[in-house]
Amino acid sequence: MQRLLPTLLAALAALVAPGLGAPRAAAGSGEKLQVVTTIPDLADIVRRVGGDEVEVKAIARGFENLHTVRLRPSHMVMVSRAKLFVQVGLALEHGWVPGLLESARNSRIMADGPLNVAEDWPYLIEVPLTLDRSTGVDIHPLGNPHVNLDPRFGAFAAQRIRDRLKELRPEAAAAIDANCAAYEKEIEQRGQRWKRVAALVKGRKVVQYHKEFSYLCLANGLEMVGALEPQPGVPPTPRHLAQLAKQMRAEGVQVVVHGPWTPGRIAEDAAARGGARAVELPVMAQRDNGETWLDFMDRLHDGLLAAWDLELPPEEEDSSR
Amino acid sequence: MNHSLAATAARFSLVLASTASLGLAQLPQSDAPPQSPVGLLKSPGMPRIYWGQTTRFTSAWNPAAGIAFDGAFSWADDGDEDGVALDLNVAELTMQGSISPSWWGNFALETNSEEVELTESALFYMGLAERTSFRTGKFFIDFGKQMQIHVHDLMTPQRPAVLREYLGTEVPGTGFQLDHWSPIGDETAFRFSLGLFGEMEQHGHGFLFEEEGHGGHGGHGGHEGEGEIEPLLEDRRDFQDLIITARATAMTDAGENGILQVGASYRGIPEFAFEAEGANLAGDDVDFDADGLDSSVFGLDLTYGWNSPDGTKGWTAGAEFIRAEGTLNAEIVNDGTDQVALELFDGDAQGWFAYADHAWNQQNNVGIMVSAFEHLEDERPEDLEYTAYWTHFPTEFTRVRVAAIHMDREEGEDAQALMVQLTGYIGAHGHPYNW
Ligand SMILES: [Zn+2]
Repeated sequence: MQRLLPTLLAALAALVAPGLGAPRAAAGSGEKLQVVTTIPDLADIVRRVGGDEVEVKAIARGFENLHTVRLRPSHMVMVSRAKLFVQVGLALEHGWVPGLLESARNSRIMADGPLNVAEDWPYLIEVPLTLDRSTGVDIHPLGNPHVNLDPRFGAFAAQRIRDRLKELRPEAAAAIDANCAAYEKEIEQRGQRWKRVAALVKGRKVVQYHKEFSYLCLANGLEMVGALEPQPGVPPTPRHLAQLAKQMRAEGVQVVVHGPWTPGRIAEDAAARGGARAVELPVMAQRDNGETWLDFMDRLHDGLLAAWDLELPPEEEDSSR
Repeated sequence: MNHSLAATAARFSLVLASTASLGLAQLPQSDAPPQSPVGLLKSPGMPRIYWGQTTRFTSAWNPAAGIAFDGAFSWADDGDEDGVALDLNVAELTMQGSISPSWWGNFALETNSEEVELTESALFYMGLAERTSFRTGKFFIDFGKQMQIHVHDLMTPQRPAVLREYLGTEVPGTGFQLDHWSPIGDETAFRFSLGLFGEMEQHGHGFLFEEEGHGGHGGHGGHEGEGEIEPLLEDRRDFQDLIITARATAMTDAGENGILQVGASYRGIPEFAFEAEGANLAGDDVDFDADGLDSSVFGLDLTYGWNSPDGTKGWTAGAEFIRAEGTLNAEIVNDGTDQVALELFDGDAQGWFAYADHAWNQQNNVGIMVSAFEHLEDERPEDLEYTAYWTHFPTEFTRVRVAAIHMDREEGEDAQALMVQLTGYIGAHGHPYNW
């Protein structure tokens, strides 16, 4: 019983030997590039840009809090087999991605690092002047990271992804360039409708639960009066809510927007106290029904219209603008 | 063990003051990506501390440093020990950082009101093979779901009684360990570890009740009780006499929102001794020496975790069965004559713990835990410990816990305790907990 060591060492050698002796074969030219992304939005964009070159899986399903996505064994397996890991960055996923990558121990991804699509996002807002825990926790330490709700995100991300894919698949560079250009054109076309929505909702006042709709609000000319969270990541306090309710009534705020992960009851109560209505909006594309980033943006803008019971005028009238 | 409230408070503030400068200097504003390579994927039952920043916050310092405070105000009624106490369970200084692309290291220094000890100091190498890591130095043993975790990070207020009794409250070993995982299909991860240790400690601080003194079998440095005999490890011994730990575990997606994990663990001490001094009735010193002893501890664990689709609510349930074999305890027996003898408890004993925890939002969970074990004595009297707790996280960096504990003893008086525990984290908090 006690002299287990030799037996265990032999068993260990047998188990590790395959891992040591046979590193996974490098991707052949016919094989698809395995890509894992944090959010479905990025998976869709990688698919559009990479075309036939890539096989993409997303981790988040679409209704999570992006700062605290729950990981599962299948995610570790996914990452261990991937050649490229794509995330938004700006510390949006820093609560769970580093742990996932370290657990998966995929040497290639550890060496290359994840592709941080928004690393040099030029439109960064809400950058804290100081980070001091004595004034509360701020889970947006580098500025607001919820850039996937910005209409400019699609083209921006597509270009970053295009550049990385071309490095990984130089032989397919021409096709990748063409895919990206086509996608940018489609974004431009679909974006016309978002502009018409913006023209309708412009100037209205909103309160958010978590500051994840700020880019959307700015793009649509909405005036952000405040957030139920006193600081990003700090749950609403009664005192803060009371203050906000007063402010909402004074400024005539009609809508409180919140994501699918936030407690709807708190948003509804806060909205009622401030004389507004609570409206749930998506914070990313849905993975399991294959929603594209463009469809998600459409849904988001439809949600804005519905929040104020608005309807887009027929397209003909609009073309005169 | 009389804790003066004022003295403890003074010590607490001293530690705070002396470490505050570290906390202040560590301004987390930085464009660098999160760097501290500590804190792996959270498997069910792992500490709730992992929201992100506590383990991850970018640190302008290299290495990332952090301080954890864990103190408790408690009332306990345990025979002779009766009344309230204010304890600084632990103030812990941690540092971790990368050394090169494939090497990193971590360090943890713990102090309670009485002593300072180095609980972790290890180097990790990731370049050996795909999905493999190697560590060497001093680190917590990989046994079951719990023993890697420091007590202040546990989901439960105390280490389950069976683990305290058979392994120790905290068990750091000095040696090396190899970890490897591989996928099975698309939804299952299998991991094993093998560790070899020259030394192993058995820390005893941080529990509410006086444990009955037994030899333990964790090597030297354990808690001291009256008449207790410490097991002794030779500084140098044959290679096959090194302490060995082994663990194999698999976790798999269970449904859309669940994770199921099973595991088996082993810790063997192939060669140790009990040495003691006693006195017979005549007052003559008698030396006792029993060597060439061995002991083994086996564990089986099963854990299930479920989270609501948005990740804010969850259930966790787990159970572990532990069996110890070999020479598990030693006692000096004086039968009232001149005959004094060292009596060894040679045989087996077993115990278990089970718990269930419910998180109804990101700030709150409640749980219950039951643990039973047979004492390492001939009659094997059984203890049964019940714990109920509520944990509240006002922020990611603070935790308040209220707990009620009842110990049902087959032999001896029952004991109970109430506890309010406060834990706070300054800077980055990190330990190399694996899943
Ligand atoms: Zn956020």
